[in-house]
Amino acid sequence: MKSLTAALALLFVLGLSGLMCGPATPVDFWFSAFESFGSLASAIQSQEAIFELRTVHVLLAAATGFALASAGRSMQNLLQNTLADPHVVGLSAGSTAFVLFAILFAPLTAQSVLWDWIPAVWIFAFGGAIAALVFLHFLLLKIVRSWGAPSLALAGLFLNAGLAALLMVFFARLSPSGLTEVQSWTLGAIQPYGFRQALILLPFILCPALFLIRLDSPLLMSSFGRDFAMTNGIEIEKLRFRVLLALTLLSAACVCAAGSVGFVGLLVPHLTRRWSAEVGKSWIKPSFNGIVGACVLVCADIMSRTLTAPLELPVGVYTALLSVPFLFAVLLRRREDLLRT
Amino acid sequence: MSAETATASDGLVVTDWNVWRGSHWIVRSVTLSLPMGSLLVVAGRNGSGKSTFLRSVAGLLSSREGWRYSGDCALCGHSQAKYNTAAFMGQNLGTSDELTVGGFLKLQGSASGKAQQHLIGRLELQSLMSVRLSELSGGEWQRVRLARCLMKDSRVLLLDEPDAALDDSWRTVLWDLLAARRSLGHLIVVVLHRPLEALGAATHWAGFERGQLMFCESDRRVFPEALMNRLFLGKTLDSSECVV
Repeated sequence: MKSLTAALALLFVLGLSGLMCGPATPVDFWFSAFESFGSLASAIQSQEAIFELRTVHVLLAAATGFALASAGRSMQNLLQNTLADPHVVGLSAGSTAFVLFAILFAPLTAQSVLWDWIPAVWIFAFGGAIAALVFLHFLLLKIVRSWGAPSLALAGLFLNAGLAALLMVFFARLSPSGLTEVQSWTLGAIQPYGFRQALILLPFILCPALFLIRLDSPLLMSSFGRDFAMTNGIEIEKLRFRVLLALTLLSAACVCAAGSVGFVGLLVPHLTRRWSAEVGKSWIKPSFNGIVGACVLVCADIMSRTLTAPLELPVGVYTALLSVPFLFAVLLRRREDLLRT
Repeated sequence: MSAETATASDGLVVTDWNVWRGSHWIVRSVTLSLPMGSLLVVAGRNGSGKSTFLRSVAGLLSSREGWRYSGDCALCGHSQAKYNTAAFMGQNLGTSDELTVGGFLKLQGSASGKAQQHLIGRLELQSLMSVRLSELSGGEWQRVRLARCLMKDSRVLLLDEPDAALDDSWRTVLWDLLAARRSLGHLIVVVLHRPLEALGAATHWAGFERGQLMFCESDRRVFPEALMNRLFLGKTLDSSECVV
């Protein structure tokens, strides 16, 4: 519980910093606050547009980080493999591919909207994830005729590799400006939405993540293998289907919010798995994991807005950068374990 | 084949049971029946189909993973074994560097009842409760798994090599615990590589060879030791020889 409270406090501090950091620096922000009679509220009023943009950035980054870390933990348990991440089964690849095909071939841009405000790419993102799920289902049930964890992981690799190869063929012909646009989806960058769009998107990111947290105990049991889970009363087929369904929604919503952000879903479950051995309520550990995920992505988002300002590099670049020292720490902890035993 | 006959609503009744995957037959025409209160020891050479038979009895072989079966296998009156009827302990169980022994024993179940506390005491797990699973030795992990399996509130126990990695003193404890469960009227099936160790506790012995049940015997006086040796020495058996 202590770790959970500490992580929440850290997220709060990072969130506040996120509101103040950006190409317009914190100094500018406080300067304008002093100008408008020293109150934060009036400063916010005076910089309404920037505030909205940054709030949306922070909210989407936190929600996406939370969801990706939760999905990463679920997939690692489901596939009984600590190298799994939310992208391993290819659902986000399907979603990203549909979005990119829409941008490359359909007469629309990332900014095109339907009914005045729903971004058209959202339809493609959700369509792509659902198509990938249907494809996986068909491949495993009708062709491979095996629905076990190794088959699922291999089918996911196959889908990921196929889509990546197909997309690369098209990327090779893109102009530099087209490539920048494409990069924001493939590497992951928080998309510049308005409040209303973000509020619509948030439940699609958070609800499946909370659902996965609810399934954490059965998933933890399934990490000991199918036989163990089943003889302890877990309907493994149903569990797998539910997780994949939640992951489909979550992947599509995360792609809409931030493209295909890597490393968070792999790194954070590794970091939190051994953080503390405290045995408490079953939701505490997965929630802690999710909040750490939110902290990592908000932190990466702040870095992307400040380190190279006014140029904003995709947030995925910084999650990759952040993952290096953390993964090294995980490695070192392994060495300590070996020395101890 | 068996001396006693179990009714379909009680115990284990297997009739002409076949299990295969693709074109590979693993269990062929097995027929046996066991009443509640029996302890069956299943022996056979590596790859003879013992473990697959046990998993199929536990209802763990899913058609979605390519398994096919025919015949009937009724466990406690369920005409097709339900996977959560029995307490099952398989050969392989992944480990976790997240959970401690205490967390593992409490995972979706209670480890606080009197019987559970007795098991923890008997298997001397108190001092291990805060140790991570990944830091346990092979024998310790086996005791933890055994405790977890025996904690399940079930009248049927299916155990695949529960004595693996246990030293002699812990094997004695294992057989004491299983004998106690059997005396409560519970049905126990144990796959073993050293069936003679269970001589005191078992009520039935069965031998598998190439997926076929060669014998299932309940009379201790005619315990087919010689037959067992022949199974393990790998001599080809004529099925007529198997009727003791």
